[in-house]
Amino acid sequence: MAQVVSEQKRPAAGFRLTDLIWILGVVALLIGATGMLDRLRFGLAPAAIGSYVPWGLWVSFYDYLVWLEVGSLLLFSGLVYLAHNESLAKIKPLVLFTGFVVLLMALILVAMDLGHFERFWHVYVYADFDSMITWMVWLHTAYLILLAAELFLALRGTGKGLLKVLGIVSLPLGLMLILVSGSIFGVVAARPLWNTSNLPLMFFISALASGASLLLLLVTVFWADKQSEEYTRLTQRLAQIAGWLMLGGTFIAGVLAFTILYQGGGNPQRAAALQLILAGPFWWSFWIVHIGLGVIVPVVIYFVFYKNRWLLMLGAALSVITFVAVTLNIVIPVLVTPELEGLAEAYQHQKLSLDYVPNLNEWLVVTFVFGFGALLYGLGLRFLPVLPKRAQE
Amino acid sequence: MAEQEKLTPHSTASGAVSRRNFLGALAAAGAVAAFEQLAANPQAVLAAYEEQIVQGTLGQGRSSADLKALDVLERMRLELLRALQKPASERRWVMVIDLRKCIGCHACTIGCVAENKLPPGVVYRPVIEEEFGTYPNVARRFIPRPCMQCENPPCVPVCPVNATYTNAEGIVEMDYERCIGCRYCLTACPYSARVSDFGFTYTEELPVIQGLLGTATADDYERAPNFEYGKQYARQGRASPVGNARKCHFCQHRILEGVLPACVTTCIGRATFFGDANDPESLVAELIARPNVLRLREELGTEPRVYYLK
Amino acid sequence: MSDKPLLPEPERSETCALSRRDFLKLSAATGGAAALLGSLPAFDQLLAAQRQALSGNSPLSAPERQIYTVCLQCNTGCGIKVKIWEGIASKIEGNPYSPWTLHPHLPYSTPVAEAGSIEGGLCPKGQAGLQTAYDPYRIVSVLKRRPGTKRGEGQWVTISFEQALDEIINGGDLFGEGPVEGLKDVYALRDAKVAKAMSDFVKRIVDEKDAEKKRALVEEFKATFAADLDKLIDPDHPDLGPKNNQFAFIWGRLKNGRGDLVRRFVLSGLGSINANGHTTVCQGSLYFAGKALSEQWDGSKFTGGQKFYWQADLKNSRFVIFIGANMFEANYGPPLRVTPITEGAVDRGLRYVVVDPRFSKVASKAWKWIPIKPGEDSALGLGMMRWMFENDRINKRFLSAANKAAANAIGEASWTDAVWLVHIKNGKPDKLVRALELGLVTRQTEQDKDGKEVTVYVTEDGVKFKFDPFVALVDGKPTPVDPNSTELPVYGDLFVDTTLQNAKGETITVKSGLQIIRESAFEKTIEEYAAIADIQPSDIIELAREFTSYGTQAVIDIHRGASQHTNGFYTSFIFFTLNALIGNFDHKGGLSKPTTYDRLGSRAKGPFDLAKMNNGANVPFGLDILRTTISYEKSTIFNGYPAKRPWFPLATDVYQEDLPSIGDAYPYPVKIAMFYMSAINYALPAGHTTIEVLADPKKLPLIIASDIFVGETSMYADYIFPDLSYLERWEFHGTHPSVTYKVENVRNPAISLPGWPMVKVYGQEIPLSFEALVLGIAERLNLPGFGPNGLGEGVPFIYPEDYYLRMVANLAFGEKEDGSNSVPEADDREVEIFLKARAHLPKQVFDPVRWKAILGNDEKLWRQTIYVLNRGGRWQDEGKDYKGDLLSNAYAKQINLYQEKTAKTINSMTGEPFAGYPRYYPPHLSSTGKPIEDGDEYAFTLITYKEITMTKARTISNYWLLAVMPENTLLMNVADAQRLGLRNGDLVRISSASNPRGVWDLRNGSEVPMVGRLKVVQGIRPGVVAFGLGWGHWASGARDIVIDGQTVKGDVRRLAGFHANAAMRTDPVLQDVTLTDIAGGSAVFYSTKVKVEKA
Ligand SMILES: Nc1nc2c(c(=O)[nH]1)N[C@H]1C(S)=C(S)[C@@H](COP(=O)(O)OP(=O)(O)OC[C@H]3O[C@@H](n4cnc5c(=O)[nH]c(N)nc54)[C@H](O)[C@@H]3O)O[C@H]1N2
Ligand SMILES: Nc1nc2c(c(=O)[nH]1)N[C@H]1C(S)=C(S)[C@@H](COP(=O)(O)OP(=O)(O)OC[C@H]3O[C@@H](n4cnc5c(=O)[nH]c(N)nc54)[C@H](O)[C@@H]3O)O[C@H]1N2
Ligand code: SF4
Ligand code: SF4
Ligand code: SF4
Ligand code: SF4
Ligand code: SF4
Ligand SMILES: [Mo]
Repeated sequence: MAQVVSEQKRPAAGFRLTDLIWILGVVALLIGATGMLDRLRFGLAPAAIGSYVPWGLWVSFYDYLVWLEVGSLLLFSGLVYLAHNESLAKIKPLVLFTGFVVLLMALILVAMDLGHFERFWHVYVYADFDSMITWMVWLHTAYLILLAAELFLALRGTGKGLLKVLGIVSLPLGLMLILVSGSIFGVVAARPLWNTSNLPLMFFISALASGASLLLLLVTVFWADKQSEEYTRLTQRLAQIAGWLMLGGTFIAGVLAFTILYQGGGNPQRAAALQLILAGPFWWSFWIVHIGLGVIVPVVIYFVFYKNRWLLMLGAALSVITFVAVTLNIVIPVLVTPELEGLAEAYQHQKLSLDYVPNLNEWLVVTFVFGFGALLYGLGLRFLPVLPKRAQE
Repeated sequence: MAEQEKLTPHSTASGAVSRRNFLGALAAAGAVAAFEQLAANPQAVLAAYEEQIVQGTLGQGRSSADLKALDVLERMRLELLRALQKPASERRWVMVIDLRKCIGCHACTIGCVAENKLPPGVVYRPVIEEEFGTYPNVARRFIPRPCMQCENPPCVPVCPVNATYTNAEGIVEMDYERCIGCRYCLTACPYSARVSDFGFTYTEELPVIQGLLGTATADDYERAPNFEYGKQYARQGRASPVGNARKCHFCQHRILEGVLPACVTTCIGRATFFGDANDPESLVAELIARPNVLRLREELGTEPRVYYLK
Repeated sequence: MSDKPLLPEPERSETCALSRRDFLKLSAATGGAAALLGSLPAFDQLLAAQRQALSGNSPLSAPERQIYTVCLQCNTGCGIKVKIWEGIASKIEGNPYSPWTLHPHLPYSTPVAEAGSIEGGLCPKGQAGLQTAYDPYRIVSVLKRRPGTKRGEGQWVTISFEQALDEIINGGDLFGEGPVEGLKDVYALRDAKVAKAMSDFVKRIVDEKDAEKKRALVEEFKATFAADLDKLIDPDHPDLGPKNNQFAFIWGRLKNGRGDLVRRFVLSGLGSINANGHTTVCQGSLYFAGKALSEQWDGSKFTGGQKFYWQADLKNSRFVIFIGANMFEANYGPPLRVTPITEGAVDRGLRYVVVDPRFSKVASKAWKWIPIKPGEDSALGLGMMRWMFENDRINKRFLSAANKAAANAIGEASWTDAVWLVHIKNGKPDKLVRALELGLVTRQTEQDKDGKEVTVYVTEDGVKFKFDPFVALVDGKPTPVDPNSTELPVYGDLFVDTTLQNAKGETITVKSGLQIIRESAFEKTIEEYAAIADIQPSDIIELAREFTSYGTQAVIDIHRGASQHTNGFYTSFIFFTLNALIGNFDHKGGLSKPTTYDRLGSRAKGPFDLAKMNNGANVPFGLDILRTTISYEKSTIFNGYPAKRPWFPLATDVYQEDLPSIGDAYPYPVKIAMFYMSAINYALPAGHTTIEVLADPKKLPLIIASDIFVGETSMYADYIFPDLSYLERWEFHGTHPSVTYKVENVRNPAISLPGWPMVKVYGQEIPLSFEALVLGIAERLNLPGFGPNGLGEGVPFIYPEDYYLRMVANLAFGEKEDGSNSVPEADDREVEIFLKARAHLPKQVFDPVRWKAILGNDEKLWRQTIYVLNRGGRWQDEGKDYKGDLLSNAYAKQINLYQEKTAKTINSMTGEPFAGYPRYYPPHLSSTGKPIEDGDEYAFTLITYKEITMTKARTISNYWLLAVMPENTLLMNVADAQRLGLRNGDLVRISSASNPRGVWDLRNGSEVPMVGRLKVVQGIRPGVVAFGLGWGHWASGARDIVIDGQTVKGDVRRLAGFHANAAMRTDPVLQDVTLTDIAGGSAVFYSTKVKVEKA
């Protein structure tokens, strides 16, 4: 059995390719800092979100990150602890560390989205469990603790039994987390396109699909011996899982879209929001970015060119990156669809507008968060024993 | 002397007052009911008017003084005082907006902004304008949109910190100090009745120069406190309500003082009515029993406490 | 934030041990008859207890935190209460005592202590008033044009009040452009006795008809006043008056109080005749039609016509036609007039029609909208009139009453001259027939009571008249008519078209006025009228039928859309005639006129008879620059027709003529102009032409402005003196015709801005303000009427309150000499509220000791004055405004349906007399009466209107309002837009034949294009485009200016939208001025043909 052990032997000095990650991270941090500073000084005023489109880029990125994080961990734990995939188990520290960094990024981003983030603790003290956000926060907290513990154990290489228990516990927790994050939108009766029981389910499938691609990406990038059969088997397996999840998800979404659009589906507001996704000013983000680059290209690669290592890496990367188009398309078009026609003209202000396009400030904050993530990740790769090492070594 | 002739009185065809019309007139009591009487013995007054309708004598030979003893605002204010005598839980505040009387003046919008010292980008009661038809058969409609104070408010359960809740009188309140500004409630309100305070002021970045008043004095009025929820919120830095969700609160701070909501008193169309629907003699109780009453997006089951008359 | 606890609610109901029944009774008492409250001590206590229990939630409801005053965000003048928090105006509400905001208003006797929680309605501008007062662009120091820079360049230096006064008074080389005359030079004729003598002599000169003799009189004048000829503008034309007239005071929005001050300052102080207002930009022809309609026979001539008009008493109307009256968005004004319409239409069965090319907000609730062709309203009116005559639907009873006695006998207050006979000369109506010429009376002389010889006119039956009476046919018999007789009623035959023998045995043709009107209406068929107005004949008939189906509770209410046309005078005349035909004047639900309490104390001759309180008034005389005081033919500068510029014998305040006349130096050059609250270049149609004069010191050497910021007009001034905003000052806002109550609204200081500059006049500190400017000048020039003895020996006029507070006291005292009409005295509680509410005001603004002393320390009068100030005015109670079916504040005078005075007046541009009766004139004529053709290129008719959120050039600072409407739009019908390929939201340029480039040339090197956003709607007549007033600023904080070398950045929010007045047509004859109604004086807003193209 190949051991995944930390690479203590590696020297701490000398440039490595992975160092690019934290270097880029620092650059991004610096670039993003201006936006972050504005955010801290002027609150949400500099952001493009307003009152009629209260959530935007940040919430979309948050959901995206949650998908990646929870999706990859769910799949990982499922495959490792339930399906006993030994190959995958070899990159446990890497997967856990990746998930942990992504989770931190997600939390910072969502904190930035709060009007009073200094009061985040209210959610613990004054919790209202009718609210999906309460669940989200509590579950996320639990998940964070769990993940931190897992990561700790994995990095130390001790407590295998406990790790397994935690891994299994993380399964229902992750499942709940993903369903709750979908329900945040799903329970909003005011927004018909969100308000379907399918939405949490879609979140689940999407999270798994994006998670699968993320795992695939991690394997294609960091697997020590890419010539090995184990690698081929693993990547093929992951590609298939990701591919089918994407196809399945897209199929279900297609069916839903059909029923919503058929004769207006009886709910003009819902149809209008969907129309916006499909044929609004940002149609390309759905058709080209999501369907084209995010589904068709990767799926073709996953099923046809899966043997080509580079293509596979590309497919996985494309899929991972473009999933943000999905969350953006879930969050924004629904909010820019007016609840009451003519409201945005009734009393005018940039914060009472239905035209939402993420602005520089929002992108800068995202850049900052990604910079932070990259810095952490890069440093982790460098200083923590997270990378798999060759069996031979 | 020349022939003297009175002009023919108005033809019955166009002048006859239908029972419906009449009841309408009665209910908008400024026009018909002398409130003293109504309060003392509504049945008797009603009966008298009923008789007049039946006999078709309504509006004839009655002096205007009889017909409109009180501004409807005064009637409602007196009803408000009456309602305040009851325990809070027995009151049911409702608002009624008669779209036939709303002239789209936006006085309510601005009155509310002024009352609550709302900063740029915050509005509790916008008035939506619509045009229909084809020239020359055109119509315009104006729809004021306060918070509906839903009986079943979707904005409340979504709040993770209980910063918003329905109080004893049915008003959906905010606790500014508790709100974390997640804006979940904004997405959940089907009427876009919640907004976020992004911390702007009207006078920021305006000149401060010798010879001009300048921002230092000019912002006095917007820095002065509002009295939302019976507290004093002076606009300072990033303190609440900056960063919070905000919404119409039926001017609770005024109601408890015996003053009608700001949008009601300033309504020059007298299109906005307010009162305790649990008081069967109140104007609003009458109005919401009309056949032309409707509520916005009723299908969502929110049970708004704001009614519209069409 | 301080966290004052909300009182726990359940306890409230427990502490209040008031049974429900009791409460019902009590609450009934407060509303129904607040007067009763005093007699219900128990109630007082209960209310007090309740209030205490409740207090803390909204502390602004405490009466001690409220000051009652008057809105001036537009000219409606709604009563307001300003809620004050620690000296800051925090919220504005409707004053419930004022009939403007509550319908009906609170009984006047309601204690102010109880009114703290009672509020009436206000429009959005009224609500936003705080932003006018707390406008960061308000000026707080005198600004002088930086020497070496041009007018309008926006370069200013701050100078002290004293230095500024010194400069404008003494003149000198103020701007490095050469010497400028100061006020001291223009204030030439200072001796009132000489002025009086000259004035009397000038009267003789102008009244002399013979040219030779006139010349001789001028020579005689020169000889008589040889010593003082240097004080005249032109000794060869003494009728131009003294040099003093070369100071012109031009105001935009001026209300009484300050208006009285201006008259005292300009007329009786500086002795200039030129104190001119903005009436003709507003609804001039409507006012001056009202003046012509209301001229009264004084025994020798028609005189005393009031500059006013009538409006509908909407609260009791059952059918109303609004013509060019923008009831829901503008007019006088929403809080006052909307409520009776909405409640009327929904609850009271009121039916109303809106005649307007634009589907206004009021049209949206109307029974019928008539999208009339702009300017052709009179065709609709005459069509209706024709139908009414044809179908015998006129109020014969009313029309037959030929004088006061007749009217009173049939229960009417007013009467018309409809049955009086008119001479027909060469087929044209001419003078009124007199009894003497028909031999109905003989002229005799007799001794009057004092033994003086007087002429009397006596009938065969021995009835005596003091003048040669008019004549009506009574059952075919000519009968003398004394219009004002209360004893000899005459009911005349309505339609007379006959010949009579005069005393000399000649045959004369006569018609009754009504016959002339009928014939005028019959000049065209209903179909022809409908075609002219481009409406359906059936609409005309339907309107006429409905109009005549509600007795006197039907009414036509007209406003600017009808009056601001070259035919505005006659259009107004036509619609008032229609109202007269159904006899709705002075009737409940019919036409009403404005009525105010006397602030000047002349009716009660005290307590302060202010008009008389003067230490030696100057006597202004001569021709005003607008040529309204003397008729052209009478003046010594008569020089054939057309005159160089039009004369306006039937109008005054011809705003559009101020600057072109100054530019033309016709009738004489003006040296110094002072603008008060005026945006003349912004307000006027073709206002850009006025900038040529404003910007040119050669044409107008010195401009002084009073303003609250650097405005559209004051930016061209040489000196701008800061003014107090309406929340900080005094004024008496008066009333509007639609108000049936007798009223006066008192604007009084509610706040004083922290750090507001105080200046010294007559040794005392007062706030820098318009008053300070006037008093400062008066002090330095030692003007009569001001200073330590200004109001008479030992009675100073040093503080603004010396004048204004006395006016309040007059209102409080009432109009009966015995004081029986006075208001109650404020009790101790009211005095306490009065003092506490004003505790935040600095001593220079509010000083109870000084104030009380002004009233002679008369405790009673002081308390009565407090009573009025505590309520912000005085208003008659609900119910007192009617006596039966009639208004108690009735017009009760003659209405001239045939106007001899008008018919005898010559149009200075054509040499033809004006028509004395309502008749059809097409709109859009040149000053010489010629049609204007601009070619097909200019395909749209441009009209304008007011949006509810904006008032002209002065609410752009109200950011709250800008959220509702950040910019204005050009409304265009969908069909037109489709045809032109234009889309909603497109930017379009507006240009016209007289402004083909479509720009405002500011004459300071910059231009403002007339480019605005298109709004494509169904609700406008095809072929017409409309824009709302109030945007498109080039000053008022919209653009950068420089003060003391520091750049004041303009605020983009104030730059939004566009202003298209510069597209409005200039007169093809005069070139430098808008089209004008030569009879009524109106500037024309709604007939220009424009081109609309994508910008
Ligand atoms: N919001 C607001 N209210 C105001 C003011 C303000 O500035 N803003 N100002 C106050 C003052 S000073 C005044 S004078 C009043 C004016 O009050 P109004 O005269 O009632 O108001 P305007 O909007 O000037 O009215 C012009 C109306 O005539 C219509 N119109 C245009 N051309 C024609 C035409 O040829 N025939 C007919 N029949 N209609 C036509 C326009 O569409 C518009 O509806 O408003 C007062 N109230
Ligand atoms: N297109 C178009 N043009 C119109 C009209 C329209 O309907 N459409 N309506 C017309 C009508 S009805 C009128 S009455 C005229 C009005 O025309 P104006 O009377 O000339 O103008 P206003 O805007 O009332 O006030 C003029 C200026 O006074 C100054 N000011 C403001 N507040 C104060 C103050 O408190 N004190 C002093 N001293 N100055 C102050 C400001 O510079 C402001 O711009 O406009 C007319 N122009
Ligand atoms: S209208 Fe919206 S904000 Fe108001 S109670 Fe209902 S859901 Fe809540
Ligand atoms: S914004 Fe405030 S009130 Fe709204 S859901 Fe979030 S915490 Fe609750
Ligand atoms: S009730 Fe008060 S808070 Fe609500 S819209 Fe009216 S004025 Fe605003
Ligand atoms: S104040 Fe009254 S009439 Fe005006 S927009 Fe509001 S509801 Fe309508
Ligand atoms: S109509 Fe509006 S702006 Fe005009 S005086 Fe009244 S409240 Fe003020
Ligand atoms: Mo006006």
